[in-house]
Amino acid sequence: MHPPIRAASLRFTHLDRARWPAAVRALVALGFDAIDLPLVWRDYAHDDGSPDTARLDHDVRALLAVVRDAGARAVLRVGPSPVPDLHRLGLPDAILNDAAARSHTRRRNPRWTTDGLRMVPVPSMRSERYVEAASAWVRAACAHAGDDGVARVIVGCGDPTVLRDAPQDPDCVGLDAATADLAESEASALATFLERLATETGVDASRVVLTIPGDPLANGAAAALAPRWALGWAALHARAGVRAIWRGARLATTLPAGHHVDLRAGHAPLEAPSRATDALEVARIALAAGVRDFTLLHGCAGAGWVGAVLDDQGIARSPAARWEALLGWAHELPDGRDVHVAVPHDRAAILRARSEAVLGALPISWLSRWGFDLDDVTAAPTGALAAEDAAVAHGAPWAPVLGDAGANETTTLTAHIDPPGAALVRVVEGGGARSWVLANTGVASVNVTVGDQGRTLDAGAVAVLHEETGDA
Amino acid sequence: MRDDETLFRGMDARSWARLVSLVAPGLAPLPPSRQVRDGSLAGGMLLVAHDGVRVLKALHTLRGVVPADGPWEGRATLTALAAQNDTRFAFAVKHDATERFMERVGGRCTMDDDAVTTALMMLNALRELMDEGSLDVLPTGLRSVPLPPVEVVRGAWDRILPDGHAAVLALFDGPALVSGVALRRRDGRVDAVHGVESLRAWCGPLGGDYRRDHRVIRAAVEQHLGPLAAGVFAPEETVHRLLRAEVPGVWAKAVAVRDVIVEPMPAWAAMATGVSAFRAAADESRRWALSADGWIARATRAVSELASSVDLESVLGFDPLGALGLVLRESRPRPAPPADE
Repeated sequence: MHPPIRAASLRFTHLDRARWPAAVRALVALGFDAIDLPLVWRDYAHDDGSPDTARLDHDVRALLAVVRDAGARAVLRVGPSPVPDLHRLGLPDAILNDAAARSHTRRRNPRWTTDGLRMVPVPSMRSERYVEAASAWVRAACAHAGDDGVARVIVGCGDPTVLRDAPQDPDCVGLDAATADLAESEASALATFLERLATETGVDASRVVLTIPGDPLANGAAAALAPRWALGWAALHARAGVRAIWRGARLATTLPAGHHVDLRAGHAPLEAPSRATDALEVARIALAAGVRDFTLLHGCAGAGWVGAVLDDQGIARSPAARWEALLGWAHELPDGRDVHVAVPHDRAAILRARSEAVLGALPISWLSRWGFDLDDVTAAPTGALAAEDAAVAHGAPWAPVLGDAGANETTTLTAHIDPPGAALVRVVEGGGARSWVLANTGVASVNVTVGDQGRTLDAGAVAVLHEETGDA
Repeated sequence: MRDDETLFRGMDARSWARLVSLVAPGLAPLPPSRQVRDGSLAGGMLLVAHDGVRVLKALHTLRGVVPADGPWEGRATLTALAAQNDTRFAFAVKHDATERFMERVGGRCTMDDDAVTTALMMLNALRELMDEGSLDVLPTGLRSVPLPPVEVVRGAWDRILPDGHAAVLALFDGPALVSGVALRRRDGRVDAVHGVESLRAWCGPLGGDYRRDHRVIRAAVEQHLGPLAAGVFAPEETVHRLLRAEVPGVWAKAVAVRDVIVEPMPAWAAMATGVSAFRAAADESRRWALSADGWIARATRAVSELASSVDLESVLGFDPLGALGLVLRESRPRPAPPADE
């Protein structure tokens, strides 16, 4: 098992270059062991959309040196559209204005998505022009990805800046008999696009993460890619609730090739507001659920972001001390083999359910921010929620599994939870010990008993019990 | 920062959440542990999907999937479902409505559209869907809010924030500057938006009385952003109350007694508050006149009717505070922030 990555992002193009070293050192001092560097195509593009390799090379070299000097590793996030707070999706105007690169609706109108208070056309992953241009960008951005200090390269579109889960999402074609086939085709297009970009990075596949926009349990491409590639996605917003946040984070621990989850400190200015206390609670739940590799967006944003850990000058804001404490707490969480009752989400079921989603073009990624699952919106539920409900009601450790991999693990391990189903459970075995991580999902206190140990959990609280050694 | 990007700076999460939830209490942040789908939270929004014949699904933002089936009989069904789920905000979406919406937007959008054009184009597309019966919304008042033409909104924007000028809103909680925003318009677009961290940094320590501190804030904003077109300085609680008020003239009264400081006072605001105060006075006179007779009563009634026909709408071309108040009066109260914040 590789060492965990606890990264904080640095939106360096929004920050005075002279402040880069101080900002990186401040984030490392808080306990982050890696710095996530989003490389935005639009910031390094010539007028024709081709990458300005000289300037890119100059900045990336300098940043890698700064990160190395601070004793941290780097995560390169190359997109296209790597983070949520981008102007015009972070793409050059030459791409956005090129009709040959655009995606279209069923009636051949251009597809548009929000860009602050304006709209911007969505590029097509099937467009040869777009794929070639994006590949050239990724090659240029990854010129130094082979550097020893680079721990990960993250490819793909970030947290859903687009209205739909993906530009070629089957949702946007509405309901008709052909959508099942079309959904399969669209998922394949997304998977092909991401794999093409992954190969352009030129680095070993074990260091590449493919970003899945939206809910991975509703994404056929995610199911197809999970066996071969580490997947990345965004943890849910606080308004999704404890259960949905835990569920998404827990899924990450079952991916065979690894995971990378984006946590949030703050938000883009035109997104729904979130307080630092809520962001910390989301992070606590995700880490308790087993997330090992993560990036905190944004550690330092410079500008264009509300509530980063460091302010616009690279100086720690008041919640920074709480993030430091949270990272210290995360170090104490049990590390080992996760025991679970698996709830599989196979690709065919995902595609079938998506094609019968009763809300037509409403994006499932958008609904997932309120904690709605694919089963909630489809006329043909996959049944995953019912299976999860049954496991939780018995106090069993459960986790969803993407795709057909990971056959159900049978286990007799259960916790006694009163009232039943009011807490979620994770069991970790390692070093001759068994640890139980529990999270209360209700608004009332919950009594939990594991073996001869008992504990009362307040609303939203997370606790760890060790069977042999007692309460942590 | 490059090209036509708007620069957002100096925004900490707490003050920004306070500002946004002042005008959109439904967006007020809550911790994950409070987001439990058991109906314990008041408010929320209901989304009903139907195919024109039957109800397909109903999702409540605070309760999850809620039971709903049976025939779709238009607005009556939506009203009944909203009442069953204790919410005043509900949307009914025909199964193909979102695709229709995206097709219309796709056919009308251009890369050159500014924010005003884009927003009105989208609102018009939604209004067309409502007219066709593909989309319905509660409360019903939202359906009748008039959509002004682009030229009217642009003209109003030119009056509110002329090019090359800045505006500031500073909100206080007791002596503390707790929330606010300063923005500047340049080359026809808002090029800089600053949060309360910037205001604090520019002003340094404040005295703790917004009736005096507004001068310091104004000078600081003018130094950093340019000449100020309008500035509003007030206790947060006062603005919260005024935004929800239905009685005419409350803003004018608040300005007159300096519960709200408007400095500088732009001409449009002076006119609107003046008319508003006059209207409030006329309403009082009318009550007296109804019990009287003769020339004075007739004259008072005529003046009162004239006053009721002019307000912010007559100055700007539309009444943004009226539409906002309609939503806010139907919304749940703003939740209290967590104790440890």
